[in-house]
Amino acid sequence: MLKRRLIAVATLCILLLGVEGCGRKKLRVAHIYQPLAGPAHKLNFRWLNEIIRQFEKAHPRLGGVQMEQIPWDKIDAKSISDYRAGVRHDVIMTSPQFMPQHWEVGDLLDLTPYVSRWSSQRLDDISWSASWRKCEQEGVRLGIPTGVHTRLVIFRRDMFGQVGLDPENPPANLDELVEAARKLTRDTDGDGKTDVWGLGLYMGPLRATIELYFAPLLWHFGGELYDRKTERAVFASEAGVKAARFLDDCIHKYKITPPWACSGTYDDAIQQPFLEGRLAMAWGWGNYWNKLLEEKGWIKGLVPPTPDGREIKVGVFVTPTKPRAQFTNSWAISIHKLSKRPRDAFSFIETTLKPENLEVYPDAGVPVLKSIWAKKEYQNHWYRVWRQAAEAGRPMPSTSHYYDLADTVASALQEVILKTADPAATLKRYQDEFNDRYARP
Amino acid sequence: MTDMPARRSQIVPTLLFLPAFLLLIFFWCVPLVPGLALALRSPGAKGVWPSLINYSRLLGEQTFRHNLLLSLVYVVGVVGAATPVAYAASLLMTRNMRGLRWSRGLLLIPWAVPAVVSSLIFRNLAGPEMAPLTQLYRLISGQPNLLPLQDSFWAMTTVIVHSFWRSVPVMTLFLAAGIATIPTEFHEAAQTDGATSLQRFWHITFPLTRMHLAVGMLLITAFTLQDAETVYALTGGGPHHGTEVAAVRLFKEAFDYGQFATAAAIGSFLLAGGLCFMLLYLGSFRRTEVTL
Repeated sequence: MLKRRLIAVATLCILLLGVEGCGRKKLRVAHIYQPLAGPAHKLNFRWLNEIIRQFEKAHPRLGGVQMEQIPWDKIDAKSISDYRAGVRHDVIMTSPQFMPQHWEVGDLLDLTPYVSRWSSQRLDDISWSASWRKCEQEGVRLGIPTGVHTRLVIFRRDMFGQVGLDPENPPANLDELVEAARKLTRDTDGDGKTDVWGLGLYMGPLRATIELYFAPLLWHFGGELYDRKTERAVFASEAGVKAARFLDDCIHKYKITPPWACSGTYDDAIQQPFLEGRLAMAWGWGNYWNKLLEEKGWIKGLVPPTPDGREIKVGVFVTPTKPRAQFTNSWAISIHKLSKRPRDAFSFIETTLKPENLEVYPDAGVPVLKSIWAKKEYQNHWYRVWRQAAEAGRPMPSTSHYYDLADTVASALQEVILKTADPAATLKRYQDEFNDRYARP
Repeated sequence: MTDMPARRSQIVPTLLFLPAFLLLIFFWCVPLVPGLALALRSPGAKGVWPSLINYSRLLGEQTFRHNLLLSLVYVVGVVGAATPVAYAASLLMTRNMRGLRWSRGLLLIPWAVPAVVSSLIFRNLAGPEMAPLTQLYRLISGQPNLLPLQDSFWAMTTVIVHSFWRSVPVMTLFLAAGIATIPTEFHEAAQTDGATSLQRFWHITFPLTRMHLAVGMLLITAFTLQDAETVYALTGGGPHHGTEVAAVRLFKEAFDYGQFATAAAIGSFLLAGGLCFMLLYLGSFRRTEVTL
């Protein structure tokens, strides 16, 4: 009896597997959202599920969607290594900074044939950001940005008032920034230790160091990370030395930045201490964190945007570097080269890019469509500042060795700051080692 | 002529052993050969093969020489600290004392905790605020404002302390297994002859557990030499390459920079390093004789 039952169960399992195998394979969508990794991830995961629901409803015969979760800082490398190993994805999230590397390896499909069918009005609506330009390599479109990530200086309006600073007139240049930060750096309990730091910066081992601090300052002082032909790194210029000195001075000379800015993560140095009231101003505040401000009641009706949205306890201002000396990027959406269903994959992309979906995408940062910006919910000071920064944003240089460049710059800066090494000699040594390896002859 | 039957008697066991040996070689070579071949490919999409450029470039690079030195420091630090503690723990474990059954289970906890999780715990223990390891380091160093993860020496110390914490249970298990095989008569005889505890350890326990020690040390060395995940999660290789051991560099080359050939070359350096340690351990411990 038992034997017969076992045979029946085994037969049923084989049949089910057979039916599953014969059915149309699911579309494989690789993303970065891990629902257990915190509230932001949860929100984005929910949004993605809604996109999938819409797609499956609109295309019931396409066999559904299978999600693949990859950590955000590894998804580009994973796309490349999977391509080399013959592992297929269909739709995959990508970063514009890594497009030169994707282009060199060839792991992403050219989206030009699909995008060329779009109306000029639609193209005009989406093509204004730096990320849009960066997603195109030598005339080949490898991705479509789904938002604009830009960073500003966020400040505590109440703390400005406490030290006699005007929250309506935040610092407009680096000197004013340092001056304000000096006033805001305080020992509130009189134990001889600083409790509130004037200016939060991050110089740790992650990409944020080059993107949000070193590069904007380097651009501000007139330098570049790479030469014009993107053949050699040139960050150890006079401007690079000035940028490194400024960051070092914020910790050691002006004593406005906490000394723990060189370790841990970007979140540890900026987001958490600002939300805990240990920073009066935080340089590098990302728009993907604004939801947390709304939850704390520090802004009201701004995330999601409403016509009555207003700043309560915090304000923002554009990083006081020169115009076009700010960094922007975004998440882009691409099709993996090994996809056997590029048309279906692009249908999924089209579902994602519907204006109503982009508008509520929590990880968009700020909207990627100009038409969304025209809505009355965005006609306030808060969004005007974010838009100003987004429009002035620059991408990273078009090198396929970007990750190593970011690591090199972070290590050089840490040596300057933590070992009080000479900035000129240290940057030069790191630059030479980088160029010995990657410079084109 | 007289040797013929003896030779024949050796052929049969050799033939019986051959399939297992070939299988071992096969499983060894299948991942190893393509890896070593990849290391001989020059960088770029149209890489030349064979080429020693990856090796020559790495050896000419100051950072990589520093990576290798840190790997050596890491292995020596972890094995050097874990061995005496593991010996002490294993001697304690093999005694018949009350409550030892529970402590044996507890001892394995560090090994059971996922490596990345324990790394993140240690990162907090050495954090900038009122973290216990930070306080301890400040006390030892006499620097009241020390931030351990921003100082190469103390960051590397934290990495070693973390791996030491994880390695002790495994080493203890190996040594305890060795100690359990020593007949109690040996110790009783030595005790009757008036040998002290230290003399009994040095002349009985240590020589009779030397192979267990060698295997334990080899295992810990292999784990430490290849360990990229815990170091990466704890310090990311920083500050300024201060904890970037060769395995972390390998990980970054392969999965961050996409330079698989360079990563394969680093892998072969690590393989060579592992073999050197193996020969050193097995050679050193084989020479020891038991003097009863």
